[in-house]
Amino acid sequence: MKNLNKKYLLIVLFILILPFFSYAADEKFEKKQFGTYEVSLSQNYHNGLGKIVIKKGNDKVFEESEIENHYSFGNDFDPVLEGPDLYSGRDITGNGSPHLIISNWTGGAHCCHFVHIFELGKKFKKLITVQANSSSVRFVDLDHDGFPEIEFLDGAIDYKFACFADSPGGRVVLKFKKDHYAVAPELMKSSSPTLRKIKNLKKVMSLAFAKNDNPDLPYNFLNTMMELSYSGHFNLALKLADEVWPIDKPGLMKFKDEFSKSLHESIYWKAL
Amino acid sequence: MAKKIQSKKAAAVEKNIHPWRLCSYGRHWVREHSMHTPPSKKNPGGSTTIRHAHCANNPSGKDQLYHDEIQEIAGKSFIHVNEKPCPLDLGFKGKGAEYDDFIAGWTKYWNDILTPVEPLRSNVVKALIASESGFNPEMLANKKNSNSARGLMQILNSTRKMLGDERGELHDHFLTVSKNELNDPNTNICAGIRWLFQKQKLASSYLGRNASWEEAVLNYKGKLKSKPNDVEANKQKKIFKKYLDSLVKCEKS
Repeated sequence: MKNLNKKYLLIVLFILILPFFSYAADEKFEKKQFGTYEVSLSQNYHNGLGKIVIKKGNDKVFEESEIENHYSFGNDFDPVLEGPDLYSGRDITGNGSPHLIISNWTGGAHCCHFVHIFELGKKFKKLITVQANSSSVRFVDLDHDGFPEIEFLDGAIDYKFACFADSPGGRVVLKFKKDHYAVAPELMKSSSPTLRKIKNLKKVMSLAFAKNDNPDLPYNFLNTMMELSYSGHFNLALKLADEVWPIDKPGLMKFKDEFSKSLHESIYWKAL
Repeated sequence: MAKKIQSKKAAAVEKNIHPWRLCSYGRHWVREHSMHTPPSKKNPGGSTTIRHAHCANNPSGKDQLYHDEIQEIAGKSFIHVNEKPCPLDLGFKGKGAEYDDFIAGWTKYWNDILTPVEPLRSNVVKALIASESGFNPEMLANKKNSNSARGLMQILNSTRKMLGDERGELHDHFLTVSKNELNDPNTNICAGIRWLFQKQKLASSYLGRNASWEEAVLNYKGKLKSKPNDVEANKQKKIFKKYLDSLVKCEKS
C-alpha cells in the first residue's frame, strides 16, 4: 500500500513538474518583491501582450500593457552588461527611498527602448520614462557623487539624412536633481574646441564627403555635427557644415534647416 | 535491407518542411568540419578527425535553421528563384542590387513556410534594407556597442536571441545564429525576413485584422503605434515608401 502511494505521489509530482521542462510556453511570467511592493511582468506569446503590474500591499499602484511590449527587470539596454538587475531595490537618487528599474522593448528589430524608474517609498512615484529609441542605455556615475546618471544616444536625426545605421545619435545625460530627472548640460558640454581640433574635424567631414558613394549624407559628417551640437557647440556645427559642404552639391540650406528643426524637436536637446 | 533504407529515406524526405531543406523537420544541418582531440596520456600528440556533414537533432524537436544550412540553401537553391526584386540600385552604387538573389530566395522560403494571407514581396524587403543599412552588410548602428543593431536588416542582439528562443514567442521555425554570423548578408536577410513575418503577425493582432506588409515594416521599425502626427514615424514611412515606389515602378516598366 505504501509503495502504491509512493508511486501515485511520484506520478503527480511528475505531472506538476512536466510543464517546466516542456518547450512550448504560452506566457512568460516573472514576479519580484521589494518590501511591501510586488512587481509582476508578463508576456503572452499568442497575442504578444506585455504587461507590468505593481502593487503596494493589496493596492494596485501601477499597470501598463500593450501588444509587443517586452518588460524586464533592470536595465536591459546596457551595451556591456548582460544579466543581473544591479539597481532595483537600491536608492539610486539619494532621496532615501529604494527604486525600481524596468526596461521595455517594443519589439522592433532595433527600436524602441524605454527605461522606467519608479520610487518605491512610502508613496509610490514614477520618476521618469527614458525614451532611448534604438540606443543603448547606461547607468553610470559620471560626477562621482555615489549615484548613477543615465546616459544614452538621442536619435533626433534617425533616418532623416541617411539610413538608420548611418544616423548617429547625440549623447544625452540625465541626472536626478531635487525631485526629478533632468537633462544635465554640465555633464554633456565640453570646452570649446581648439583651432587644431576644428581643423581636424573639418578634415574628417570633408573626407567623408569625398568618400561618399551613396545618396545619403555620410556618417562621419553627421556624427561630427551631432557630437558638436550635443556638447554645446551647435553654432560651430552649422559653421563647419557651411565650410565643408561640397560646392557642387545642392541642398546645404535645406540640410541646415532640417538639422536644426530635428534637434529643436528633441525633448532632450531642447534642454541643452 | 535495401528496401528498409529506401523507405526510411523516403519518410525523411516526406517529413521535410521545404524542398530546399537538407534535413527533416526537427533536425538541422551541420557542415563537414574538423574536430581536434587535445593531447592526452594515451594520445600525447592529440589528433584531428573530420566530422562529415550530417543532420543533428534539435533538442526541442522543432524547426531550427543554423548558419551552415542557411549557406547551403542559398548556394544550391536560390539560382532557380524567379521572383526577384527590381534590379535597381536605388542610388547605392555597386551595392544596391548586390543582394537581390538572397532577398528573392529568403522571401520565397519564408512565404512557403509561413503561408501568409498576402505573400511578402521581395521589393518590400529590398526597400526595407535600403532604409535600414543602405546595403552595407557589416553596419553596426552604434559603433561602440556590439549588441546594437547590425547588418543589412539592422537586427538587435536581443532580436537575434528571440529568433532562437525555443521557449519564446516564435513557437516554431527558429533561427540560431551568432552575432558575428549576422554580419553575413545571407544570414542577416534570412533572419530579418523571419522577424518581419513575426512583426506582421503581431501587427495583425494589434490592429485586429490582417496587417499589410507596409504596416509590418512600420512595426519592424517600432513605429506602428505612433500617433498620426508623429514626425519621426511619418519621416520613416516617407523614406521607405520612396524606395518601394521606385522598385514597384521599375517592376511595371
